[in-house]
Amino acid sequence: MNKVLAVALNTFREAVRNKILYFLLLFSMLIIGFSTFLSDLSINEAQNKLIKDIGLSSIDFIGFLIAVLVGINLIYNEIERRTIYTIVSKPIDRPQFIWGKYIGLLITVYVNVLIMSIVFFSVLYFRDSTAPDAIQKHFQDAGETVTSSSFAYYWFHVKALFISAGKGIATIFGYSEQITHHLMRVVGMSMISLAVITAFAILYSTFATPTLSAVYTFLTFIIGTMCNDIVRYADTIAKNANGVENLVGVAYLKYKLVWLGALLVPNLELFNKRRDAVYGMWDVMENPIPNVPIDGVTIAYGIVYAIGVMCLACLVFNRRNFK
Amino acid sequence: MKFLSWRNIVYLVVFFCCIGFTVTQQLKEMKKVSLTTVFFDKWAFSGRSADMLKKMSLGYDLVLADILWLRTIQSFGGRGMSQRDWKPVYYQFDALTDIDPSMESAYSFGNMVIGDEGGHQKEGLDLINKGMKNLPYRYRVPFEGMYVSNWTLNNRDQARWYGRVAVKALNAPDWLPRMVAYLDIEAGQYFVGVDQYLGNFLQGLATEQDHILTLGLSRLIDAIDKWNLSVMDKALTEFETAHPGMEPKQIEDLAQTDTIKSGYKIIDSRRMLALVDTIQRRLKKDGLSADLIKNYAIPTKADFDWANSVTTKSFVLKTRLTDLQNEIFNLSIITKNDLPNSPYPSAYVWNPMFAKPRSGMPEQPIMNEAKRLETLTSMLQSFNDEIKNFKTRENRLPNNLDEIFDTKFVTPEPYGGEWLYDNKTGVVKSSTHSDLKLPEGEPTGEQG
Repeated sequence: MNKVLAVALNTFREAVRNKILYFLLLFSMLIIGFSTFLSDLSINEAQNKLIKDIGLSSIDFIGFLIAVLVGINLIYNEIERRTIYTIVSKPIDRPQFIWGKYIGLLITVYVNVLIMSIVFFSVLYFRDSTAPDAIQKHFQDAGETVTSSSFAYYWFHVKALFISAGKGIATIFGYSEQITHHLMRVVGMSMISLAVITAFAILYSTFATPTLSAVYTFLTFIIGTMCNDIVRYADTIAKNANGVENLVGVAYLKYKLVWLGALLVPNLELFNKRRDAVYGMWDVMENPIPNVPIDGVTIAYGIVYAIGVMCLACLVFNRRNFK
Repeated sequence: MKFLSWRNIVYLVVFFCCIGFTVTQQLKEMKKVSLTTVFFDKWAFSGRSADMLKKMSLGYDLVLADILWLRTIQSFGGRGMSQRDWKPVYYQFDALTDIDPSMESAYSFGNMVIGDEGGHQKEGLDLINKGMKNLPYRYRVPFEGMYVSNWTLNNRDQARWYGRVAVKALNAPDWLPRMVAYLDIEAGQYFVGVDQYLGNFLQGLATEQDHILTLGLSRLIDAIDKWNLSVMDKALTEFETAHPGMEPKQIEDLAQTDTIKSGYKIIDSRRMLALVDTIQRRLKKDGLSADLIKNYAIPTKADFDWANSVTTKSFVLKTRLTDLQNEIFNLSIITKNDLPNSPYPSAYVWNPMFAKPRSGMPEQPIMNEAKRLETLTSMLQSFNDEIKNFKTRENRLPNNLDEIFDTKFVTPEPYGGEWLYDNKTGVVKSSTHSDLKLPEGEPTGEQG
């Protein structure tokens, strides 16, 4: 285990030196920050929904890009630079090396996801606390009359910025308000989805070039998000033949293959809780806050799937000839 | 390293175990997917189907919907609906709501843009109907349908249908049943409307929310009043048909019409209040406070005796609120063959101004005495306020009432009397009620 952790930490150190990581992080923060201006173009209650949609989707997608763009090079670079020889000659198993790489990459992805989440939550808190009603109430309670050009007005915003950042950090440790209710659950489910995708990125990088690995991972992501459509396609085949029992020949084979495909591909849609974050069933009728239900089986499905893919990666890497 | 080493075998076993678990889990999920409705493909947006756009969004469909939403708002905001073909905007809303079926704002805003602004109410209502299907637990979308149907399309029956759906929504506000009941009453569906108001009133009583209680009772009594007036209106029409060119000299003349004589069903407000009060007391709660019912016809001892005799303690304790509502409603219905009793403390009177040129306020042939006095008071108050404004503006009192209204003053006095204006003091009075005190006082020559 120590050997795995040593590789993992080394991978993390190596990954954080990757400039692409910072570009992606910066880009995501710009998107999240920009969403608050974008929401001003919207109307009514759709404004907060827009920020949540963009923020949560950015965290998920940028996390995916980090997993792919950083992950695909991890194994390949070791082989390309011949550093793999020094590693395999040490008392460390190949599977330990692969697991170390995976955990190191996952830590990198998760750290970035958490940073993005803090920014996202901070934006939500800042927007909430600096809404015109909130400002008016604050100064009314304090018995002050201020204009938008007075010092007190700016000072209020500066204070709100720091308080929002503090609350943003606290939110990833469990703190929440009405505006961030259950949002950490959505991020958590995205993290499990990223664990599966990262496992695939590692699997592909054990036998393919970085470009091919990226393509394969991206295709896996597409198939994973369209898993339900594969099931519907299988249903359509059966429906066209007036039921599964009437399927014969090529149609039957096609149906079975599609069905098998739907069974085997990762169902990434299960981890997409972004809809619940804005439309989830309310906890309390008088105070409608969307509820994000999560279940242990879905979490177990993600973790077990990732472990399964990693086992496959270990098998492939064990057979890999470095000559 | 040999491929069939013990370690590889362990990995192989773990791999198959993991895949076995995930496959079993996925099998359950696939069954769930098959049970849900298929996302229907149809023409939607710029030649691409919303279904295809949704698939292409790779799970980021909400962001796609947001972008389309912003585009639609900007597209509408830029030029409005009058200068453009409405169809592209309609299809944008249609596609948007296909991609994100739960976006409530898209239905209500879309209906406003396409219907109210664009003049295509039918297509606006198509969006509303789609929203009602996709958001069955929310009141807002059918409420918009009710609003458009009643106030834009003037289709009261359709409005009532939307209203009925809106009231059933989980998040329906407490004022909505009253609004729907208002539509019922306006449509002449008194049985339904009064029942709705009674439900709202009882809800206020059960939840001890004073504003619902007060408003609910006020609307309930008003609805009973309108019901009574509708019966008398019918009798008046019959009277006018039987006696062409004649008008009844007094309200009692209507009692001889078949409408009244042959018997009709109506709600007795006193009995209803007595029933509610009795049931409350049987439930060990406070009865209706004197303050709450002071403006309405107070139940008599006979009404309370009757209420005590028809309600049993066990029935009241065992029955749910909705059943009690039905029971109260049914027991309060009486069959009468004389003129209806007013639900207000004062009696119904014939409005002498009904046949006169109706340029002013009272147009109802029959009205409640208290309401007539209220009308007179509010008219006097309004005149005196205008005189006060005139004095402030011109620094003098008007010579006559024509001066303050810029045109010939023809507003009739509700009792058939005359308006008496004293241009020295600036006070307007009624010839029939010269001693009437106004709530906000009268202007004097020294004022202003």
